[in-house]
Amino acid sequence: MRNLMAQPDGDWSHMDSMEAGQEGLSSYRYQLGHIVYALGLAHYHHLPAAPCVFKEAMQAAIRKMLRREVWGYWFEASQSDKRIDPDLEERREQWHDPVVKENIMYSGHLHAMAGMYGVLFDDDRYEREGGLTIRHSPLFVGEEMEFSYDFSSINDIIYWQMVENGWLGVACEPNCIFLVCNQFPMLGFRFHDVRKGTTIAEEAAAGYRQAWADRDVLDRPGTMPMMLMVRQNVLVPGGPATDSHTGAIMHAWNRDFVREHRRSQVYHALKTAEDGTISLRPLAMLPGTAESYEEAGKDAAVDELAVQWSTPDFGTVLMWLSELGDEETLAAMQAHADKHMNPTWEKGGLYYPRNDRSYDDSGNLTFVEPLTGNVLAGYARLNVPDGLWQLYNHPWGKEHFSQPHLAECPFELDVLQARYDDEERKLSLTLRPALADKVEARLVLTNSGGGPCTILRDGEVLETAEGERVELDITIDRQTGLQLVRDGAK
Amino acid sequence: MTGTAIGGNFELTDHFGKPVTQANYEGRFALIFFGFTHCKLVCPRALTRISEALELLERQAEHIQPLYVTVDPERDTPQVMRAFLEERWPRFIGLTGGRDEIEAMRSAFKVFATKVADPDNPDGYDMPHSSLTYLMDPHFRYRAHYPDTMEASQLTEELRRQLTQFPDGSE
Repeated sequence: MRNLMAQPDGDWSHMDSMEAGQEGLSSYRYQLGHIVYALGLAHYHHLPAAPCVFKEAMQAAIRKMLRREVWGYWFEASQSDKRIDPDLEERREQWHDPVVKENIMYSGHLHAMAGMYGVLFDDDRYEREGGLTIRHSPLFVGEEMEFSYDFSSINDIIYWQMVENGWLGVACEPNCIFLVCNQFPMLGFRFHDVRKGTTIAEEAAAGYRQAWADRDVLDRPGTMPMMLMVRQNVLVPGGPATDSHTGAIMHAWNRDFVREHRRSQVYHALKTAEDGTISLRPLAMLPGTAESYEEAGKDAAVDELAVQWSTPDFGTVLMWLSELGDEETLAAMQAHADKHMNPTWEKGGLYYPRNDRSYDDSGNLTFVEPLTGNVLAGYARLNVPDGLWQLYNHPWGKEHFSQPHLAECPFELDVLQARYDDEERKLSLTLRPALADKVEARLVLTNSGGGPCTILRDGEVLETAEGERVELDITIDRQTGLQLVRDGAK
Repeated sequence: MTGTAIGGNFELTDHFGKPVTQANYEGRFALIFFGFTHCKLVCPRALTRISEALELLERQAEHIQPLYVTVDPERDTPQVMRAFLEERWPRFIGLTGGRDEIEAMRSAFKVFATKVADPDNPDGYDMPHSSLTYLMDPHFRYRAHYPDTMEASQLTEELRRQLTQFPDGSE
C-alpha cells in the first residue's frame, strides 16, 4: 500500500479494474479510503511510535483522493437514471462538486480519511480552512473548478444531510442510500468529536439505530439490506458480501449488534476445501438469509463455476473476520489466497495481482480485483481483533504525541517494531533494509522535553544526546535494534 | 459547525391566525421545534422538556421566544395549534402555513418529516419527524441546535451560555 501511494500522482498502476467508469467497488476512491484505514490500523496497533512509516502514505492517499480521476465520475452520476430511480421522469441537472450533496460513497470516505489522519497524527492540515480543496484545471475544454472544503465543513454537510434524511443515511448514487457507504461517515463523526470536541457520534449512532430499527433493520438476526431506494421506499436485499463490508466498519460503533448476528450473516457463504482452506461460494453475491441461501444453493450448485466474479467479496469477508476476531476462519481464507491467488512480492510489498478469471481448471476461486488484492487482504493482516473498535473508542490522547517516537525515516527502511514504554522511559525500534542489502538511513527521533538520553544499537551505546530532536545517520544492513533511553530510566 | 446554511426567511401564520415572518421574532432569541399536534410521543416530550428548561431559566427566559412549527399543515390549522399549545405549553407560539411555505421552512432547517400510512391513526397517517431544537439569535440567524436526548437542565445551561453572549438580546 505504501508502494502504491508512492507512485507519482496520476500513475494508477496496479489499481485499475475491469470496470471502466469508477463506479464499482474497486474504484480508486475505495482503494484510497481503505488504504488509509489499513495503514491507520497498522500504525495504531503495531507501530504506534513510528508515525513516519505511515504519515506520508496517508497524506498521499488523501491528496490523490482530490484528483479528478477519482471524483470526476460524479458529474455523470449526478443526473441519475431509471435503473436506480425507476420513477425518474427526466434526468436531473448535473453538477461537478462531489461533496456538496449525495455521493456519500466519495464524501464519506474523504471525511473518514481526513478524520483518521488528524486523530492519528495530531495534525490539523485538513482541518484548516480550505484544507481539502478540490481543484481541476482542464487543459483545453471545460471550466476551471475549485471546491473549497475542510474536515469540519465536510462533517457539517454530511451531518445535515443525515438529519434531513432522518438518519437513514446519505445517498450514494441518486436515490440510493447504501448501508455500507454510510458506515464511513460514522467513523468520521467520531473522529470529528475527538479532534474538535463536538458530540456528534453518540447522536449519530442513536439516530441511525432508531431510523433503521423503525424499518425492522438492525434489530434482528439475518442479512441487512444493501440499500434503500428512497423515492420508491424499497429496501434492496443484501447478502454476505454487503453484510461483511458493512459489518466490518459498523463494528466500530455498533459492536453488540454486529457480534450478535454475525452467524446469520456471512458464514453460510464460506466454502471449505478438503485441505481445510476456505473460499467463498459465488452465491455470496446473491441476496438472502442462510435459509434462502440453502434453497437457492441446491439449484445453483452445478452452475457455480460459470459465475463471473466482479466484486471484492473475498476481501470484505477477510476484513470482517479480522475485526470480529475469527482468526481460524481468517487464516483458512488467507491460506486459500496464498495457494490460489498468486501472492506476489514487489518492492518489499505483498499483494495479490488482479486476476479476472474466476476459477482455475480445478475449480478453485482465483478471482482477485484490486480492492482485495491491493488493500483488503493487507487490511485483514494488519488489523487485530476489535481493531477498528479500539481505534474508534480509545483513540490516543494528547500524552501519546508527547512521547518519544520515530519522526523521520527513509522509505527504504522496514520498521518492524516501534514502541515507547513509559515506565521504562524507553523507545524501542527494530529496523531492517526493505529492498537493498543496506540503507544509509537518516533517522529523526523526537525526545520531548529535551532531557539527556542514550541511544543504544543492539544493546551497545551508540551515543548520548540531548534536545528535542535526535538526528542519527546510520547504516542499516541487517535487522537492527535501536533504543532511545531517557535518563532516569530503570 | 460551518458549511451548511441553516434557517432563513419565512412567511407563515401564527396560531392566532396572524401572518408572520422571521422579522416578527427578531430582537429575541427563538427556540424552534418542528412537529405536529397528532404526535403521540416525540412532540409532547420535547415541548415539555423545552418548557422545563425555560422555566429553569427564570427571568432570562424573557429573551427567548419558543416556536412550534408544524410539519403537518393539512391538519394543523391555527385553531388546532392554539388549542394544542395553550393549555399545556403556553410559552410556545405555533406556526403553520400552506404546504409550500411549510416545505420551504422544513427544507431550510434540514428537518426530516415524512407521511406514512398508519391505520391506528384517525386520519390514516402518521408523520415521523426529526427532533432537533434550533436556537436562532436575535437577528434570526442560526446559533446552535440541540438533540432530543438533552436533559432540560442541560438545555438550560446551554441557553444560559448563549444568552451571556447576547446580554441585552442583541449583538
